[in-house]
Amino acid sequence: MKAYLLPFIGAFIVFGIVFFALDFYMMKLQGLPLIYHP
Amino acid sequence: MLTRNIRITCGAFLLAVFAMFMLSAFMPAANASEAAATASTAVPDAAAPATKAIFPPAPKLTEADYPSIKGVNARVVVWLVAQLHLWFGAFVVAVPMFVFIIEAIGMATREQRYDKMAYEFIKVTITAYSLTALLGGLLSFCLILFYPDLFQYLALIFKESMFAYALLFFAESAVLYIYYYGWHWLQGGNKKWVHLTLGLLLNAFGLLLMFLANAWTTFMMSPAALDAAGVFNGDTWAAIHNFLWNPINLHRTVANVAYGGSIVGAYAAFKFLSAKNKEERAHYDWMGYNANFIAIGALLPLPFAGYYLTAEMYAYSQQMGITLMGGVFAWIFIIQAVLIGALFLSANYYLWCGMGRSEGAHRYNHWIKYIAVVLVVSFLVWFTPHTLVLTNSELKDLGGPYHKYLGVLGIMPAKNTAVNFLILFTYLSFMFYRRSNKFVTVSWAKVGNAAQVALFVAGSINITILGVYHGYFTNTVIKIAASIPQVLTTLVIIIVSVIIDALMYKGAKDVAPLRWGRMPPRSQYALFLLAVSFTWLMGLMGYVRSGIRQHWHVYNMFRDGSPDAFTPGLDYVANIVSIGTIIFMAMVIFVFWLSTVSGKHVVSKGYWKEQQA
Repeated sequence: MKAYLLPFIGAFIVFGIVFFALDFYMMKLQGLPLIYHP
Repeated sequence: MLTRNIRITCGAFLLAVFAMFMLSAFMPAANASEAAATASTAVPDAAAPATKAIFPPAPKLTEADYPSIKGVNARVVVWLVAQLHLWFGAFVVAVPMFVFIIEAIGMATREQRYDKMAYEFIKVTITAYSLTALLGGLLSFCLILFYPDLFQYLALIFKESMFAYALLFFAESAVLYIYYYGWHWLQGGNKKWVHLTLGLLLNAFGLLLMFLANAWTTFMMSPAALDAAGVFNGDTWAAIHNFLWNPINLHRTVANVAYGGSIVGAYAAFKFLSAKNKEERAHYDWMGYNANFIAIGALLPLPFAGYYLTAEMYAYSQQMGITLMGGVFAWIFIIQAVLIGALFLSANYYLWCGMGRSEGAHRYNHWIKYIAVVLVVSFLVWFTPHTLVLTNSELKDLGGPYHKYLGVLGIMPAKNTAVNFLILFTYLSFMFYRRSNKFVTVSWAKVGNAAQVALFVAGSINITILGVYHGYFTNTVIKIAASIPQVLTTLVIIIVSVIIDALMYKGAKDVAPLRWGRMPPRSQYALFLLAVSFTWLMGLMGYVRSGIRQHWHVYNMFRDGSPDAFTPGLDYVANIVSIGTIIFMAMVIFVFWLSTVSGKHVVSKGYWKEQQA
């Protein structure tokens, strides 16, 4: 189980950052914030 | 080999995505309708050369200007003939694209089965090509007969491109016949390269023809270089390079590949079901698998190309966009959603059945039910309507036009999220299919699998956040903008997963040889369903694309004065498109039957005189 869990957590953090950066950058390219401020 | 196929498909996929972003750079200004208005008020340059062609204004027609034939409804005839021409046209433009790729794969691997399959694909195209030309001729006659003023108006603007189209058609025919009849002649060494080059030329001519015809269509939707009276004051390129030309070019190219794949898949299914022995069954099973692979490969990016086209329609004219998705046509999108769902379900079902070819599939079979649940839930969300057609009492019972719980699923953020999951889990089905017959041998397999799971989980969470938070708790601008990272998340998951999988399964061992032909007959009906759904879908959405011009021949410029200048009811539309689909499928079965007949050789003993030596 450990053989799967640690790589999973590591990869999840890496991909999480990648997707967050993707969202942030794509919204920025369109001149918009990632978090909505009414 | 599968890895090679995946690489090629991914390359094409990436190019298509790249093209989607690049094409916008060549587009006219985003505020196109305003730009058109500015252009329309432009005074022709007095210093312009005297030789410049003078175009007439858009005619103001009455019912008397439309010739009629007793008992014939001009609109229905032109509608059906144009649609049949388009179905066959899409097929014959698409098939040479993947025939070229399959032939190249055969050359690279030196496996003759690829060459044979490519030849069989192009063989089916030959009869379809004749039918396309015949229907194109019939369409021209119908337009000249029933809509002479419109035809004349467009022919004057597009005279150069129409002439070029006719010449290109000759060139395409010549190349196609040399390509097909010279297949067995141009074999081996440099000759094979000559043959492959002919295939490339065939594709270039086919695509050029389609792009030219697309320009005539899109000019009617987003006219360019017209003044307020409809007088054309530009050159050929201005007319061709109108606002919606590139979005349609991209959408039709990708859609045609998916459609072509589905039709040859139906051909393979037809041959599989009528196979006389194991070898034939194995061959057509393999052919059907490849056709389905092509259809799915092109189907995955298709919703994005469609989304791009729709966004451009809104950018061109908000009124057109709202008519498209917020007015009477919106309900056709619900039917579209049902058909697209049917496409995804049948493609997945075929893959799941295909896992039966492998002895190692039992390791993945238990996952299929979970994939099925996600696909069905996504499918249900995908076709949940926003508003319902209700009686007063039903409206009262419901407490308004929107359902208390399901109403939220009727808007685009829910649809976008659903379609991204449909695509992701279809890819997952394919990944399991691919893995089912392999034993992984790399030492880092556990790490690789964990990374794959993490990729899917993180990506799915991101898609859900973008769909739910940005879709429901922000404003409209952010809601629409968030669909782009959502799409890109799906693309990133697929591309990264393909890379990890390719590295993990490099040098992997087969569990056992794949048992081609070990497929239940019901799996072949999934291939038929794919072809019929595609055909019906193209017919319906083709009507929508044309119908959003409403009572205009050329949008906002040239009014339709015929008795049929109204938007028909949805039941009427569905009936006409269904009739067209039935006629088309009957013609396709005729094409399949012809290809079967051409392979038969009956020896009639005693009929012919004995030849004297």
